[in-house]
Amino acid sequence: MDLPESFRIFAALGAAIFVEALPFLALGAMLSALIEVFVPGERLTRLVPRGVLAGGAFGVAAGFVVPTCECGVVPVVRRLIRKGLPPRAALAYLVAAPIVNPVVLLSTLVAFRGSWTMVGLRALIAVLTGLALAAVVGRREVDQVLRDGAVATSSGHDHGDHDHGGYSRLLAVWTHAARDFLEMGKFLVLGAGAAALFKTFLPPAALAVFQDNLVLSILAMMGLAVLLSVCSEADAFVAASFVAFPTAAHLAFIGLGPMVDLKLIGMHVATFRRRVWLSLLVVPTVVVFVVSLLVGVLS
Amino acid sequence: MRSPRWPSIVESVLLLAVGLGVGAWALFGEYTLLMHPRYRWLTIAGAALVVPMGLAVLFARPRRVPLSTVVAFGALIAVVLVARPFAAGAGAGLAPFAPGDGAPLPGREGYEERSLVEIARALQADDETADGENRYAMAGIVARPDFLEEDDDYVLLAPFMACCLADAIAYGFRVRGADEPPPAEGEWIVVYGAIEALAAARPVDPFRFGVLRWITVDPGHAIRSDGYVPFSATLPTLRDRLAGEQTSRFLAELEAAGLATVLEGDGPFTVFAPIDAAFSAAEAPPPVGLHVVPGRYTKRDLYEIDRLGTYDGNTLEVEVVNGKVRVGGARILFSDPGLRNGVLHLVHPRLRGP
Repeated sequence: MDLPESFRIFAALGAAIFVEALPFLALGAMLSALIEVFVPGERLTRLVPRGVLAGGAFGVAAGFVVPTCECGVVPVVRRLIRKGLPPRAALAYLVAAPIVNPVVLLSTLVAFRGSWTMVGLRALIAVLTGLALAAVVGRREVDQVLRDGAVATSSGHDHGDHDHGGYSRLLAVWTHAARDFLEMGKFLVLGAGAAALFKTFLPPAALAVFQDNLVLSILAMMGLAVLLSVCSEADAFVAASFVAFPTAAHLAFIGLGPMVDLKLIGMHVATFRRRVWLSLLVVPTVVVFVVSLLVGVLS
Repeated sequence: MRSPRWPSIVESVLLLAVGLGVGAWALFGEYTLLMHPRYRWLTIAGAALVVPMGLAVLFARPRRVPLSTVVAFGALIAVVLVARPFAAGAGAGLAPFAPGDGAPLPGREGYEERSLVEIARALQADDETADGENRYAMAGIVARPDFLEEDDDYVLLAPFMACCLADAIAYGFRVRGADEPPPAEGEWIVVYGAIEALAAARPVDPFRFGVLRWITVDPGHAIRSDGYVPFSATLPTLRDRLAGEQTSRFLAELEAAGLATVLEGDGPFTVFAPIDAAFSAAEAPPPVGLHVVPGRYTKRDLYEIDRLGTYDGNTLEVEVVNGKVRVGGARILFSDPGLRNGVLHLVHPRLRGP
């Protein structure tokens, strides 16, 4: 079949994004399922400090210890919140974990030719965004954070409360994982398709008009980060290749992408209530813009 | 355990299609068309998690499957089956990696092997690389975008893929110097030359080339070419490849028959080399020429063919048994299509003649 080249390129790019994210989504779904079946809810509640910002700091610190890719973190966070982890800590973890993991920070170091400053600034953005989100979410409870359909567990009860026996629990883990994978996976498919469309048809010269103005270059790269939906392990190399853009714009690209992109927006809208997913959109955008602008002005 | 019902079957079909499809492609397919090879193990692990999910839902309490889920995954499967981005030749037309990627470039005295990506990054830090004195052997793809003012100039691109095709970028340099014959657009070549700073910067807008959607050309530097060779000249020959550990006995037979030197030439040939374990003292060996076929036939090509004419004038039967291709009754264990003068298939047992 003789297909238009643009369709073949779109299919290749979309398939590549999906395949790249698939292992992380599968791992996230499995982790979420293991939490659902084996972790008693009250144990998580006791771990988190009572203060709002302290809870946020706990969530950010957890991101350093339990790294997760942005494609797999949403089902994990949803399950943690259902299990009783205070949302302020869980949402701080949601935005920080995809950035402060060792692979991402190392790739940032390599892509920017050994610049520890870029690594530090990227981590700083994650920390500030996590704390800001914790402050915005405050002491909201589960039913104020998760959408109605996401609050009830798929089986209607906490598996940690009674013993079904080994086989039943094993089946429950795989079934929960399967349904989380399908539910989040459809947003991955949609996001991958949208990102592939932009990458196929967006004229490369379209951004060139913004590169000489600091504010516009930061905004342009932030927009590009959302549209291209590049994985956080690779986005530093993509950002570094925009040699005509200032460093502040590079920082904006790598700061925003792991927190807000086409794949994540759909997952957030499906999982969280409107105020929360709007916060997940607005807070990272503001923090990234302000930090990048400061870097651009001061450097 | 409950009997599966249709929602569970739908979930299972979607998960198994994704898990088995991605897993099979990662294990046996052209993985580097879409992904960096270092992540192959990760893709296989991810697929290996999805397959049991697809089986588990058959034994769980059925739950309504949202139509949006069916539509999204169905669209993914449909687009992939129609466009076939996972298959060489049917994909987007440009694999980011050079054929034989990783092999050392053919040496030329006075020229240091250097990747264009390293050069581009070094130039961003300092300008010592562009002193015009140091000479390099640099591999890349030829592009001839419209903005080039001189007819003899072209752009040499070095693709770079950190994770997947969607993040592939390319660094490019103008190449100056009238290379004869001029390299064809899309050809992988190795250029020998020096990096020089341009008297006046010549910024150009980013452009696209095949699946490489964002290419920046260094505005302040260019390559002064002393000449080039096609990249295929850097690849090993069939004879080189047969000198490996598993085919020593077959190589010895080829040398005794005077065919080893043929496999050092331009070819192309397709060789079905029995591995050493396929040799048995109890069997009368078939003629060694039976294993050499003029022409280039990849494993994919063999699915479309019924018979092959061999170098010594015989015929080999090609058949597909349980979805796997067999040539002369032998199974293909491994294929290497990235050789300079042909394709090598390792087979077991030895081929069966007419």
